Amino acid sequence: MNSTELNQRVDGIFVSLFELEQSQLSGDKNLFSDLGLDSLDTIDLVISFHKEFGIKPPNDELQHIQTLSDVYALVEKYHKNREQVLDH
Amino acid sequence: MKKRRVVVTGSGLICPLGSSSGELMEKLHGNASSVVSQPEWNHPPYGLATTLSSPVAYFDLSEIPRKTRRTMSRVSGLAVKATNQALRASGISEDLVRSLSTGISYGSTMGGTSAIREYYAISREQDSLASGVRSTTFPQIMSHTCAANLAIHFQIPGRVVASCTACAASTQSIGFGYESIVHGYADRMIVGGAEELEPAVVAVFDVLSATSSKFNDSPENGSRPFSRDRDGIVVGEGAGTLILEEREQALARGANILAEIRGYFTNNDACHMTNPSVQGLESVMSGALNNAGLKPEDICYINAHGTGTPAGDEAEARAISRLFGTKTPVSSLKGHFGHLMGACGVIESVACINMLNSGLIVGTKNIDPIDPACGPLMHVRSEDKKSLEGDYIIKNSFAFGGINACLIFGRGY
Repeated sequence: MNSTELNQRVDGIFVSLFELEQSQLSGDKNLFSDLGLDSLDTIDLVISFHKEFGIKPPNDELQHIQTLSDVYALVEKYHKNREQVLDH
Repeated sequence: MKKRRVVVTGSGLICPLGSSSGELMEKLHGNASSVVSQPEWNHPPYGLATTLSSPVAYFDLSEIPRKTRRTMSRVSGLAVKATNQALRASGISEDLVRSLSTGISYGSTMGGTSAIREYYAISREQDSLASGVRSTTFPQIMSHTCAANLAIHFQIPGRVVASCTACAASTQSIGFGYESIVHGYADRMIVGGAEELEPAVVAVFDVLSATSSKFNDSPENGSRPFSRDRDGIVVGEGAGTLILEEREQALARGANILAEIRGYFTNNDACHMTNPSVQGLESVMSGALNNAGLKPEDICYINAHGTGTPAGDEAEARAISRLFGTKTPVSSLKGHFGHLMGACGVIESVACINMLNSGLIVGTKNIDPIDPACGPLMHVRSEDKKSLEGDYIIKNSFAFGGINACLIFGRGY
C-alpha cells in the first residue's frame, strides 16, 4: 500500500470516527485546535489503527502528534515496519 | 428555623406514550396502550417467554453533538432529551443552571445496559477482554452514566448523585433532590431517571417468571395491574426530568410552579431480595406522611407502583388498605405503558402533577376483573372519569433489593 492509499484510509477513520467532512481534512490541520479532538479521541484513534492496520504505535510517540501530517507519518512508519516483519 | 420548601418548576419526558407531558396525558386519558409484541423474542438468540415490551418509537441519539454523545448509550441520550425539555419549560436561566447551587440527582436501573451487552459480545467474539473496550465504553456503561452525562452536557458544576436502585431509582432521585434542597445543600436540583429497553434485562425478569407472557398475541392487554388475570410486567423505556427549586427563590424569579413536594421517605423491607413486604410498604408511605406532616385522610389519590406481578400488587394493595382504608382512590399507570423501570417513578410523577392540576384521575387500564386479593380498595378504572378532590397525592415506587420510596405532591399554590 502506498502513502496516498494509507492517507486515504486514515482520512476514512477520521470521517467515520469523528464525524468530520473529508473537506475538513488536510495535513496541516491540528488535531485538537482545528479538528476538535481530545484525549479520549486519541485513544479511540489508536484502537482504530490497530483494527485497520494491525499496528500499535507506542505511547511516547503518540504524545508528540499534533497535526494530521504527524498521523500520516506515524501510520506509514509502523505500517512499513509491519510489512517488513511480515515479508520476513 | 423555618423548613425550606421545594417546588417543581419544570418537567420533561420522552416515553412510549409521548414526547411531552401534554401528549402523555392525552394518551392516558384516551386509554391508549404503548405495549407491542416482538414475536422474535420467543426464539434464539433471545429465548424469552414474553414477547411484550413498551418501546420509545421515535428517538435519534445522533441529535446530540458527537462530543457529548460519544459517552452516552441510549439511556443517557433519553435523559438528555427529557432534561432539555424540562429546563426549557422551567424558564431557568443558563447562569442559574451552571451555578454551584444547582445539582443533579438522576437514576436508572443499572446504567447503560446495551453498552454492557455490546462490550461482552465484542470481547467474546474477539476472545479478548480488552478488545471490546473503547475510551468511551465505561462512561456509557457506568451506573451513574445518566447523571454524569447530564452534568457534562448541560455544564452543571454542583453535586451529582446517581441512584441505581432499579425500579425505585427515579423516585429516590427525586427524593434525594428534595432532601438536598430542604437541608440547604442545593437551591435547585435536576432530578429524574431513565431506562433503555434491553432484551438482556427483560431476560432477568423472564427467568424469575415476572414478565407477562399470557398476552403475547394481544399486547395491549398484557400489562394488568391489580387484575385477577395479571401475570407479570411489561418492560419499557423512557426518561423523565423534574426541575426542583427552593420555593422562595422560585417565586422571586417568577417561576411557574407546577406542584410542591410535600414529603418523601425511603426504606428497606430488610427481609427478602425480591419478595415484597406489606409491612415495609406500609412503613414507607407512613414515613412520607410523617415527613409531610399529613394524615392518611389528607391524601386524595394514591398513584400505585402497581406493576402487574401477582405478589407485588397484592402486597401493595394490602399495605394501602391497612394505612388508608377503602376511601382513597388508587390507580396504576402501568396498564397503559408498562413498567418503565428506572424511569417509571418520575414519568408517573409527571402524570400525577398533571392530574393534580387538571383535577382528573387516570385510572388503571386492564384492571378488570379486579383481583379480590388486591382489595378492598377504591380502585379507579381507566374507563372511569373520576375527579381528584383534594390537595395531596402519593406516588409509590418499589424495587428489587427491598427498596421502597414514596413521594407526596401538593398543589403549587
